Amino acid sequence: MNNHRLITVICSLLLVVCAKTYASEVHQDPQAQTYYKEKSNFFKFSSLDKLPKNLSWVTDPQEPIFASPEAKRGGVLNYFINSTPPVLRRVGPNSNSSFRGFAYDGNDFSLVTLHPNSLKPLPCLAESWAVSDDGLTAYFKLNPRVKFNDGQPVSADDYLYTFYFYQSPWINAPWYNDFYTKEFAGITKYDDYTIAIHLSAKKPDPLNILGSISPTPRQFYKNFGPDYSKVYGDRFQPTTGAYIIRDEDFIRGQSVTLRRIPQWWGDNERYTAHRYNVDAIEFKVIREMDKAHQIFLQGECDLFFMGTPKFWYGANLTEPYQAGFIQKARFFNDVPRPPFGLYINTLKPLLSDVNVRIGLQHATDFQRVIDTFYRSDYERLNQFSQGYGEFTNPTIKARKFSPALAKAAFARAGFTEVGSDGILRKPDGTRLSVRLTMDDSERRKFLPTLIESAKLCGLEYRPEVLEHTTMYRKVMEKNHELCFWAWGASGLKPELWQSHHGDNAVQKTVDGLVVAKRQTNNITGTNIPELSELIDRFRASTDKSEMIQLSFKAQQLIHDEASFIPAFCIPSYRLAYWNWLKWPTHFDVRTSDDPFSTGIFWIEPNEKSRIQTILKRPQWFQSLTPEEKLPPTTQIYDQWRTE
Amino acid sequence: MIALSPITQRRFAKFRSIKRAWFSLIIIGTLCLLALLGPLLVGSRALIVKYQNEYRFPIVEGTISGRDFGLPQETEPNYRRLKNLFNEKAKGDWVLLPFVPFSPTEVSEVYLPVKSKTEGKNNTYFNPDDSMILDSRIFVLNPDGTRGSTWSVQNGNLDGEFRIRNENGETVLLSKYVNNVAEKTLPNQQEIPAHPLYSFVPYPSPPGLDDHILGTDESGHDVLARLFGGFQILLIASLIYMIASYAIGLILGAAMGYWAGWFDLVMQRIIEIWSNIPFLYVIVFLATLFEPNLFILVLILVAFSWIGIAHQIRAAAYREAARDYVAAARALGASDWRILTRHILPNSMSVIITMAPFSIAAVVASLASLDYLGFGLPPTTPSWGDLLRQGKENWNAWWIMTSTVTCMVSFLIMVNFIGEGLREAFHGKDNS
Repeated sequence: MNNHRLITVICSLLLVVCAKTYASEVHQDPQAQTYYKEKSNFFKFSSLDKLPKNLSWVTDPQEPIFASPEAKRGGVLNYFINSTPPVLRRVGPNSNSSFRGFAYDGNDFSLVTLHPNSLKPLPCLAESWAVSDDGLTAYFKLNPRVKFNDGQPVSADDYLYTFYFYQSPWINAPWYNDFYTKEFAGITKYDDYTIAIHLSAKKPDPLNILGSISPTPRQFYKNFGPDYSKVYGDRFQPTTGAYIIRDEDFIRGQSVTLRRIPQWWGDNERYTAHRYNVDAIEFKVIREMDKAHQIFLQGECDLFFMGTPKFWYGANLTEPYQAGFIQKARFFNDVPRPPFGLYINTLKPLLSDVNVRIGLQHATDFQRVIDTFYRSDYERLNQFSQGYGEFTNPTIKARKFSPALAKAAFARAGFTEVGSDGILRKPDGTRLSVRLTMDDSERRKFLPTLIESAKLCGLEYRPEVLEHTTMYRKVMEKNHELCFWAWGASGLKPELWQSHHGDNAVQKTVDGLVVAKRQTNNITGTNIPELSELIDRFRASTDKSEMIQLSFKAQQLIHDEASFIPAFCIPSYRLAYWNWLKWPTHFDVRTSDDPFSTGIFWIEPNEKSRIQTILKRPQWFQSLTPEEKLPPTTQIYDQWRTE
Repeated sequence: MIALSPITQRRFAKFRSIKRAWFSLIIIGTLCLLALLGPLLVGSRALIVKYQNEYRFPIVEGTISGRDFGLPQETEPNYRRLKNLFNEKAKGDWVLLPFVPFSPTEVSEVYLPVKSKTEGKNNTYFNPDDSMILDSRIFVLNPDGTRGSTWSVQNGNLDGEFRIRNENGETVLLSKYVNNVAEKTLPNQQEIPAHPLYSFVPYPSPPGLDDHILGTDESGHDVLARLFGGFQILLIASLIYMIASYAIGLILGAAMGYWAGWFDLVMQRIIEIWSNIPFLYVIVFLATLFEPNLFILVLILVAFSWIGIAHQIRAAAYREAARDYVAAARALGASDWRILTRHILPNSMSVIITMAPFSIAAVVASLASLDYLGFGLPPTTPSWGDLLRQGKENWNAWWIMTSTVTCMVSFLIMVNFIGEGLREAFHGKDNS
C-alpha cells in the first residue's frame, strides 16, 4: 500500500514539474551558439523552402509489431548488478561500465531504428526520412510528440547540440570527439522539426549511421563546461527512453533504480507501444554471482541469466523449478558472432607455411572442448565472419579434428619423422612445437584438452597463460605465435579491413626491412594483395549483390589462408525467471542479446501475489497442493536459429 | 657398512627413539621412492600389452600405433579403452595398466551408461543409480571416443534439442522434442536409438567413477594422478632449492663469520636491504614479464631465502672461528679454505642439518601459495597449489579440496616431525 501511495505522489510531482518546464523557454547554451557560428560549415541554418524538392520521403513501412498488446503495465522488476557503476554520466572517464547498457544504450532512441526481426528501417524519433541521391545526406522530419524523459520537448536544436556536445573536448572522450568530427560533414536545421545530417564520405548504408543520432538535452547541460566530468558525474542525463534515474535512486554500494515516466511519448507510437512495461527496475548491488543466484531462488530477484552451465544445469534440482514457479528459457538469436578462436601469427617462421596452418586446423579439437567443457551448448564456429546473414558464406565450414588429415598436412610441410616423444619433426630436427597464448580467464581450463588432442596429431602446444592486459600487449606487439582471442562483432556487414587488410599487416622500417606492423588489429599478419583488394572494393561498394559476392570471395580466401582456427559461437542466451514474468509468444526478437533493451516482458500481478503468498508459508514446497503446482518447464525458442 | 662415528651413532639412535620423527622419515622416504617410479605407478601408457601372442611394452617403447593392436587409427591408443575392448572380445588378449591408469596431464571424459524405461509411448531416462536424469544430454559413443547422435533430456524425458549425426560425424538433422514429440524426423530414423546411450559427467566429476579414485578436477584431470605429479614436482623443486640456497648460504655465511670485519659489515648491510624487498611483489612483477617455470620460480625463492641460512652459518662460523682448534690450525699454516671446509663447516653441520626439513616445508608452502595465487607453474603442470585454488573455487567438488588439504597438511606435518627429531638428536640435552 505504502509503495503505491509513494509512487502516486511521485508521479503527480513529476507531472507538475513537466508542465512547468514545458511552458518555460527551453535553454539555449550561449557557448553552443558561438560554436555554431565559428563552425558555420558544419552547423548550417536554413529554411524549409530551401529543402530539396525532389526527395523521396520514406514513412512507416508498416512492419509487423513485435511487442505483445497483452502486456500489462506496472510492477517492480528486481534485478542485480555486481557493483555500483563508477559514474552515472553518459560519456567520459569511467563511463563505459556494463550498467551503461541499462541506463543509456538500452534506454534511448535514435532518429531511425532497425526492425529487430526484419532489419528494415523504422520511424522512431523521425517520422519520415529521405536519403539524397549521392548517399551523403539524410533528411529527417522529427516526430513532434517526442520528449526527453525529464519532460523537455525534443526539437532540431537538440540534434545540433549533440554534435556540439560530442565534439567538445570537455567531455574527455577522444573516441566520440573523433567519431562526431570525422564521420560527419555537418548538420542543417530547416525548422524546429526538420533537419539534415551530412556524411563526410560515402558509406555502404548511409541511413544506418545518419539515422543513429540521438538528441542531447541542452536544458540539462546548462552548466556544461570544462568541469563536465565532475559536475555531471553522478547525474543521469535525460534520454528519450522510458526510464529515468533520479538522484535519490542512485545509492552507492546498495542499489540503482530506473523509474518509468508515467506519460512516455513512445506509448502511443506503433513500434514502442506495449514495451518497457514495468514501473521500476531496481538493481541491487550483489557482488558475487553465487549469492545473486541464491537471492534469485528466494524470489527476491525476478530473473537470472544462466550462461554458466553450473547455474543452468543445477536449476532443475531446485524447489522453485520443480514447483514450476521458475521457468528456464533458451533463446537463439541471430547476431554477428564474435570470432572466438586461435589466431595464428603467420609472420612467425614455422607458421608462415600454409600447410602447417592447415595441419594446426585439423589438430585443434574445439569440438571436444564444446562437448565437454561447454556441455554441447555452444556450436562450432565455422569462420571469421559468421552471423552476418546474407553476407556470410554458408559453404565455409570449420576444418574437422582429424589426426590423419593433420599429419598429412604436416607431412606436406616437411614434418615427416616422429620423435620418441610422439612429436613430429623435420629431417633437420625442427620439432613441430608452437606456443599457445591465452589469458587467465575461465577458458584457460580447456587448454589441457587442446594440448592433449594436438599431441595425438604429433603437434606440441606449449601453453602460456598470461594476465589479460599482458597478453593484450604481447599480441598487439605481434609477439605471439598462436593466441586465443575474439573481436567484438556488430553491425550488419562483415568488417575485415582492421583484421585482414595488408595495410595493417606489415610495414617497412627505415633500413628497408619488412616487419610486422604493431598496434593494429591484423594479429594474424595476413597480407594477401588479392584479399586487400577485395576488402577495398567491398568498403567502396554500394551495390548489395556485388558486396555479397565480394564478401563471399574474401571469406573463402581467409579460409584458405587458414590463419584463424574458429573455436565456438554462443548461439543463444539462457535465463531463468519467476513465472510472474510474462513474455510475448515469440519470447524475444531476432537481434536481441538480452531482453532488457527491447523491454517486451511484463509482470503479471496476480500470479506474483499468488506465488509470493505460497513462498511465505513455512515448508512451502512440502505443503504444495497439486493445483498450486505448475509443470517444470524449460522452453527453447529456436525460430531464429542459424547455426 | 659405513663406519659411523660414535657421536653420529648416538644421534641416530636418539632420532630413532623419537617415534613420530622416525615413522615420518620412513613414510616420506617410501613416498619419495614411489615418486621415482613415475609412470610405472601413475600413467596412461600400459605396462604390458599382450596382443595376438605378442608382448609389447608401451611404457618403454613410447608411442605405438593403434594399428599394431588392431585399431583403425594410426594414433596412440587409449589403453584403458583398449583394455575394455580386449575384455569384450575375450580372445585372451590383455592389458596391464599402471596402478593409477591416468597420467597427470591427461584429460579424461567420464561417461555414465544411461538406463531407459518405457511406459506406453514415453521413454524415461535414468542414471546408473536409478535417479532420473534431470537435465543433460544423452548420446551414442563412437568407437573412437567421439559422440554420435545426441538428445537432450529434461526431467527424465526427451525434451529440447536433438541432433542426428551420420557415420562421418556430420549433423544431418537438428531439431527438438516438444512434449515428447519430435518436431522434425528423418525418413528412416529410429526414434529411440538402438545403441547403448551415455551421458557425460561434467568436470569436476566425483570420486569412484571410471577408476578415478579421487575424482577429476575442473579440467578433467584425475585428482590422484595430479597429486602424484604435483608431489614429484615438489620433490624436484625441494632438491634444486636445497642445493642452491645452501650453496649460497653456506659460502657467504661462513665467509662472513670467518673473516668478519669489513666484509661482514658490508654484507650485513646488503642483506638488510635485500631482505626488505617484498618477495611476493617481486614474483608478481616477474610473472607479468616472463612466463614462470619451475626453475625460475625456485631460483626466485632461493634468491630470497639464502639469507636465513647465511645468518645461521655466520653465527656458527663466528663462534667456531674464535675457538682454539682454529687458531691451532692457522698456526700450523692451514689455508683459509682448508680451515673453512675441514674445521669450521663440519662443526657447524648440526645447524645445517636441523634447518633442512624446515626449509623443505617452506619451499613446498611457498610454491603452493604462488600457484594458488596464479603466479606459479605453467598452466598444465600438476601442482598442489593449483588444486587448492580449484578446491576453493568449487566448494561442491569437495573431493578436490579434501584430498589436497589432506596431502599437504600431512606432508608438512611429517616434514616438521623429522625436523624436530633432527633438532632433538643434534641439540638435545643428552648431547650437551
